[in-house]
Amino acid sequence: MNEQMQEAAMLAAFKDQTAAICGDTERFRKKHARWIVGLESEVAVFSEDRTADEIGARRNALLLQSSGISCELGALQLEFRTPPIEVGESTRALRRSLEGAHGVALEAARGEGLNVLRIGSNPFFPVIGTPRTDAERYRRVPDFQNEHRRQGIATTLGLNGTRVEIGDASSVSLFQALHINLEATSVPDAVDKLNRSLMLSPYLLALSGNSRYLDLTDTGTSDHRVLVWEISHDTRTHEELRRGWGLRIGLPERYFADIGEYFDRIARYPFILYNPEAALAIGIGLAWLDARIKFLGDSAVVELRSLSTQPTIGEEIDLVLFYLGRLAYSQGNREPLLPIEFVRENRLTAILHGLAGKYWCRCQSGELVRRSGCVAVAHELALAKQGLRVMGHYDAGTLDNIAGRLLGGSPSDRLATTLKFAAKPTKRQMIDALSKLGMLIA
Amino acid sequence: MSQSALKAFLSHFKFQPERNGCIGIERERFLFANGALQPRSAEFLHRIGKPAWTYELSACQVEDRTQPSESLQLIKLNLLSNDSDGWWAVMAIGCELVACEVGPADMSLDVYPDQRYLEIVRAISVERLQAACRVAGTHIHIGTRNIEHALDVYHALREQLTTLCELGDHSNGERLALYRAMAIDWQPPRYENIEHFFGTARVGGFDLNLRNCWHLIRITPHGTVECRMFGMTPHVDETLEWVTRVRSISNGKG
Repeated sequence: MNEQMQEAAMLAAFKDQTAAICGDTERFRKKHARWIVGLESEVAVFSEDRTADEIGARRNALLLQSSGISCELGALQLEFRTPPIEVGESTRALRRSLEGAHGVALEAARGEGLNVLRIGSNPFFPVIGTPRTDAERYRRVPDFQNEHRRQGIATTLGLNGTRVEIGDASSVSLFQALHINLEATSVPDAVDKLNRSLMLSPYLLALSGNSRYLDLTDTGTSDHRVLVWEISHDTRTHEELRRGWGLRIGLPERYFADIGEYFDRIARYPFILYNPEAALAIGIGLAWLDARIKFLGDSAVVELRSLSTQPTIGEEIDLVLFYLGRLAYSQGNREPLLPIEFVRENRLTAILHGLAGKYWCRCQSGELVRRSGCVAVAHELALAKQGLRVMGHYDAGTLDNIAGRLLGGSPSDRLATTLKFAAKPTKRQMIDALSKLGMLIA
Repeated sequence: MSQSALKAFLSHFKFQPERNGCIGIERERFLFANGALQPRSAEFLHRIGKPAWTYELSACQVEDRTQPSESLQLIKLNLLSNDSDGWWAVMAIGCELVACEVGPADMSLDVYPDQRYLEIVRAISVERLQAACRVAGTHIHIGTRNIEHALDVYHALREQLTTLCELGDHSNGERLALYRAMAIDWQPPRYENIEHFFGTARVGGFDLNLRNCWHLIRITPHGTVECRMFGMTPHVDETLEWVTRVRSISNGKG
């Protein structure tokens, strides 16, 4: 069967499987209104004296020995997750679970003589030809993206005069993310949560920027992780650009009206992999939007994917609370969605400038205003606190730690400051700075 | 041709070597409401109050511009930011901003009350005024170091004129047909050397005021080479594709 026939078979299977969901959405309705959350977190493994291939070999060895740790595309990273946990009055159980999973990963890495790096983009290795996990999916998908990248596209990244070549889809294997999975109470609730998550993501990204360096070069951005995805995975034809088609990454062209529209958008892009029985999972798996809906058993789950791994577990939990509280406020108050073009500006501002940018937000009168990053995010944090109170969180200090970033800067800001804004820090300088900030854990 | 006259002509160009390779973009859009284009640019500009937005000859049009930048990401953010400002302002005055490259034949011919435009209108036929009002486009500037470099970039782009015209066309050629009706001297000529460029400017009547040059590619007083063949698209990523093409043609020219 040739590639075209495989794609047609995958599309047909995807349509069958999504039709089954659309025809029985009641299956996903929950009688409760609990907030059930599962986290996926990635860290990089590193060793000062070893090559990328040597680190990758040790990573593979530890994966064979340890349970509870898995991998994705990156050959130099580990992934761990929590089970779904109810988050009501307390996040203690979620925090304990994430700390436990992180502890297992840390011990396993130590056992192989590796350090753990808690950062959105691994700054130590070249971007082109980055090693990938040896699995069919991780060979075929980046190769497809590389082969189909639009001719003539500019594949460099860097503000302030620096330039890093990122024209290789496997470059994203250098990236570590925190994914927040939240069970929806119904399919319409999932679509509503998805749209609101897309709207809110830039504020979270502004506060959490932790992806600034690639190949020991300062890109000058606050968090370039999703931007590198976009540039290195842009396979749109000229005709698709004229039609205004977006990428399968980041933000859609417009908010989703219903689940059918969400499925239709996924179906627009090649499936690349061939396994008709798993067409739904493959299609959704390749929908690299800032947030997406997954279907797991009888649950519709919204996954926020835009945030980089944070320097500490505590900061990650605070970020999760910021998201949940702000989303609860937004849904509880039926907050009107920001026009998506404003969100698009907010998102790129967050990626490039973080807290130093200006953001559209809706002030109390409902008017749309553009505010400095710190003012806008402080406003969003205040709304998140209101949402958390509705969820049952009455801890007055909730979010205070992460709010400290409004003064102290995001992790990217702190790392750049520690490195004295060197455009091309040395490996030694980077190791020292990351160690000092607690982002490189021996 | 005296050397002093040539020198005076060249003094009109303010090259900024530090902006070599930087891109600046101007986009023209129509104001639309109640089923028709609206000659309300003055009201729009008053509302928006941002220097990145300005008027055009047609009072139904407004134009936004970006800061010169080398970074595609910063250019994109600038375009998105201008779009948000524009949409915010049109929402406030009850209009829409329409990214359409040809206005309807029966559109208002009201002209923005700018002295230069009023003089232009007095000097041209109604047909040319109609053509001028109906066309909207995207102008892409690329910074150059000096006049020699500008001529090199100009000629490289000129060689690709047909391709670039096709790339930026969303009206089956109608916009460019109207542009040619409006700007009879639209074809960017080949300049054998700087003296020939000066001579052409004198004959074309733009030696004293470079803005009177209506060629689809021209060298501007800002020391940029400006591509004026692109139409309008509502999609920022398509505009960036044009930028990438202009830049790639210009690269390697000094």
